[in-house]
Amino acid sequence: MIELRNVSKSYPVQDGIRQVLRDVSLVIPDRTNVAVLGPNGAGKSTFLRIIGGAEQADSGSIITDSDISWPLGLNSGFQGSLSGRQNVLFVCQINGLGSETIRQVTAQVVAFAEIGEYFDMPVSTYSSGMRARLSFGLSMSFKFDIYLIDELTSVGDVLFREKAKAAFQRIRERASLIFVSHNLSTLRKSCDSALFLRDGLADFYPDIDDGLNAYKQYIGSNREDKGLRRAEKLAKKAARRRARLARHSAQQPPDGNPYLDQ
Amino acid sequence: MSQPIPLPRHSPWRSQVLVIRALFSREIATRFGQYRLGFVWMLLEPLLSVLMIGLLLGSLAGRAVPDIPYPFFILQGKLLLNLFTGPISSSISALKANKGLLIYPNVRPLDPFLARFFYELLTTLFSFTVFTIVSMWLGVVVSLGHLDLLAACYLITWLMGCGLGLIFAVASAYYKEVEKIMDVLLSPLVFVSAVMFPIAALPRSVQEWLLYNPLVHTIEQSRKALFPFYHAGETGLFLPFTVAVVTLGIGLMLFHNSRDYMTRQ
Repeated sequence: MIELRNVSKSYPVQDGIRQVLRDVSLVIPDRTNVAVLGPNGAGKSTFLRIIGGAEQADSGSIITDSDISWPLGLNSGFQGSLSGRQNVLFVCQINGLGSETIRQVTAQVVAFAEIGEYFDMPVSTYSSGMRARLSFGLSMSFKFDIYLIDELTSVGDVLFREKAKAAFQRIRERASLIFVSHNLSTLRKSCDSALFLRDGLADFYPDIDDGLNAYKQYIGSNREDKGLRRAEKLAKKAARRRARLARHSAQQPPDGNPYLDQ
Repeated sequence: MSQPIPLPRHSPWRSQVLVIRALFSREIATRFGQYRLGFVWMLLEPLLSVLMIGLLLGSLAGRAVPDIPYPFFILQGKLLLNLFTGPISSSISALKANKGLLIYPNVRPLDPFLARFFYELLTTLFSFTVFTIVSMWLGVVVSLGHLDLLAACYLITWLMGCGLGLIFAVASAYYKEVEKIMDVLLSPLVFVSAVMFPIAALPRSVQEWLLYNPLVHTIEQSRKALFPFYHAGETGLFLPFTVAVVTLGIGLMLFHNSRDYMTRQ
């Protein structure tokens, strides 16, 4: 269980102050996978960092008796010039694990990540899929009650997604997830409840469908918003391009690129 | 993926020590990991820069300091100067280089700075020890009777560097230009900090100006600690100590107030 009592958080940005949470009080019960919903910049990642203890709230308190993971995100958790192995060692060291345990963790990460020789190469040379594999494998080696996931499973190949799904299934009996993703169908599949963040407010919905409805309604009422209009325009453009590509490939002869054959 | 391993809980102090130790070895791994004999380079790096100045100026200015062999004289000054500039120049990029690691709750935003500061202190102390032992073996008569004064000089110089390093790090998060200006500011220090000449050998009017530089005081006093008959002019540790306390106080306060902004850069 995680309880937030009168939690406020704001942080300075280039042109002023952004208020992420304004006097928020809520309870996230045990054993429920929570989808974190909200428009871009609503503070979903910041919320995860506060829950995970990487950042302090300005005021209020967060009370929990659960072991909570660090947020699993794409651009964090690793030092780019160190190899995957060295990064795993770092996480073990800051938690004071003994050398026998460190060997065990490393073996488990190697087995899960399946990135071969890249494990001994600098993380900065990894593709985002490899980063996700490493990050996921590392935190799944440790026993947490709640895993925080920040857009991590949206990258990677089919094999990785299958693996991640299987891992979620396996930990389901002992742990739960707090999940940030912009892919609503993924959220709907893997989450039971929802937390909706916007304009400094946060509401917990025990049923994810209620949360999704509130979120969609909010988005709908903000149609006039410039950013959304632009996003829609871009999405339409992408759809047009996809359609064009599909037409194009349909016209192509089945045995490859006609230009190369000449 | 058979057995998930529970993470042990530690007291805040123990956790802090673990984090700084891990960041410290990460620092060594990234700075020297890509060289063969990386560890040897860690020692050679400061030694070489000291030797260069010693060789260039040793014969020229040898007569300026009667009490101390000139290379050793330079060495003292250069080591302390490095101990001052090291934390300053390495703290600017401390957060950027470790940004990804701040996601772990044990790693506080100040920890990358502390790890780098300790790295500078320990490598300097190591170079000093190696150098002094070699010099004594070569016949330099060094007095070890005032090691407390010597330790105070090193510590105060280092603390001044740490305080200014934090201030510069905060400033450079808001104004990118600071990074560029810093090198320009630090490079003339070797000429105005009594690294190459004893302060007592300079004209009175110049001395008065140079005494505003706290580094002159710690460098000269450290020589006095090793060579009791050395004439250190009107230097003392009061000014550098005050500067260390004030800069550290301001640095920590600024950092505390803007760490959220800095970690989001």
